[in-house]
Amino acid sequence: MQKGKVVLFRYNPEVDKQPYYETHEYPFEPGMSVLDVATYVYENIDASFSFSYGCRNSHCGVCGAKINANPGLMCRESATPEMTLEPLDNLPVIRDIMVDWKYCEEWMFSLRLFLERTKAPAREPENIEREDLERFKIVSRCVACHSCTSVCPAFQENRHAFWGPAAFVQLARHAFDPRDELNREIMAHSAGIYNCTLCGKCKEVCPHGISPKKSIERLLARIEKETF
Amino acid sequence: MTYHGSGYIGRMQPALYETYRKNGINPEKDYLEVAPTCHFFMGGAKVDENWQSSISGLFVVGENAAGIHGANRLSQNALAELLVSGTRAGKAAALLAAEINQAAIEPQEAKTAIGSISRLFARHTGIRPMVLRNRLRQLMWEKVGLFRTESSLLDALKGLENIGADLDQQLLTVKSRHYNRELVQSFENHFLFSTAMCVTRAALHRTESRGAHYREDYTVRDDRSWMKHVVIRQMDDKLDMHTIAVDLNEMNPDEETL
Repeated sequence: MQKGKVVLFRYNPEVDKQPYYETHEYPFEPGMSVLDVATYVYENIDASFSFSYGCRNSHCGVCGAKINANPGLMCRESATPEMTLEPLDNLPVIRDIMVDWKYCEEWMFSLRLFLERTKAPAREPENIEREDLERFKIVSRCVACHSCTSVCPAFQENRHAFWGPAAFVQLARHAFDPRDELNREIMAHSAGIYNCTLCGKCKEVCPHGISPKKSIERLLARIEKETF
Repeated sequence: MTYHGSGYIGRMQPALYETYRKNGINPEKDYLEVAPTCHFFMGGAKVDENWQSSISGLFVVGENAAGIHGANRLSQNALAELLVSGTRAGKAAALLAAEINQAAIEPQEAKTAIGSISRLFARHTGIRPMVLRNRLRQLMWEKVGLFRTESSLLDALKGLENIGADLDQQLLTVKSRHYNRELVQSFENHFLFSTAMCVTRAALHRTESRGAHYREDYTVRDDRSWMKHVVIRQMDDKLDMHTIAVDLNEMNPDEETL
């Protein structure tokens, strides 16, 4: 068995004045996930190491962390014999690599993330056209892990002026669904769509291959079509 | 088996495909290791037609409720279940919330809970929660897993008794109350223990094989005796178990279907 080395970001606001790093060894095996390494540390070295996870299968989105300087889901990324584990950037640290999503999900309720409709469907079961489905199929894979938020310069600059890429992915998921009747363009305005710099960093890090930048561009195109 | 052309797996299961790829596996060319796992719970809390449990105001939906699909769990069943249960429970809960006030917290119960946490933190010797967790896992996998017999289930009950006795001997090595994973795990062990107990007792009681429940000593499905739900209820100090008939009124199955 190969020896692995993991550098961990540690911070407990109850006692630590500052965060610090510590290094641990673990038995590295090919096929091991980063989450396996975190669990190994918790079970065998230090039970005070805090991280969160749920489904172990990329779907719940709560095991996001910075792995070797890149944001990603711990359950999804393969461990490497030498690695560094840190909390996601741009978000307050609760403890060790756990971050506070509330900080970037204040928009959750105001964006009304459900299909809002008053008109009943013409017939039931209601058929969704393939073409329509394609418009919101990819964005519906967003699990709100906030990998994108953690690299977004506009969010870092002012989170009240730009609510973060994930907010627009969620908005796009509903805006491009033909069953939804809300004016999502106004919401996009409130969420600061024009403060996006279109740098595209968000699309490099999404574990589900979504391009938040593309969602923002399509929402922008729709706003312009409605306005002019 | 159905043949699908190249690219099909990536299209249908993009997340899974990506995980394979990251581990250097090409699912279209390489051999895949296949293993059974606990994927879904058919059993769960007993609910009424609005998905409300016997505790007023406590709604239980999706996989947490006793499966409307019985012992069967085909792909996508859970989807239908969550859509129906979510809709019905949501509407019923909204109506109920408009009618009633929030129930007050019973001070004595709160004191009991605080007391048990304080005792947990004060203990200096004992068993670490994850050790107990792993014991429970291993026991359930080996004795109540894929193939069950009366003797394996009786072994499981014996093992569970030991684990149950150790539940109050859990030791926290981390004394912090700020996001303490060990503390959470020690609570979860109590819940997992109760669940494991119910699963084992029900499996022992059901002397037939049905769906995911496979008894090596009763390999045949026995509709004459077992068109029933097994209901287990926590009484003061013991689990009460009884069966209720399956409501077949909507389905009207004939002899042959049964």
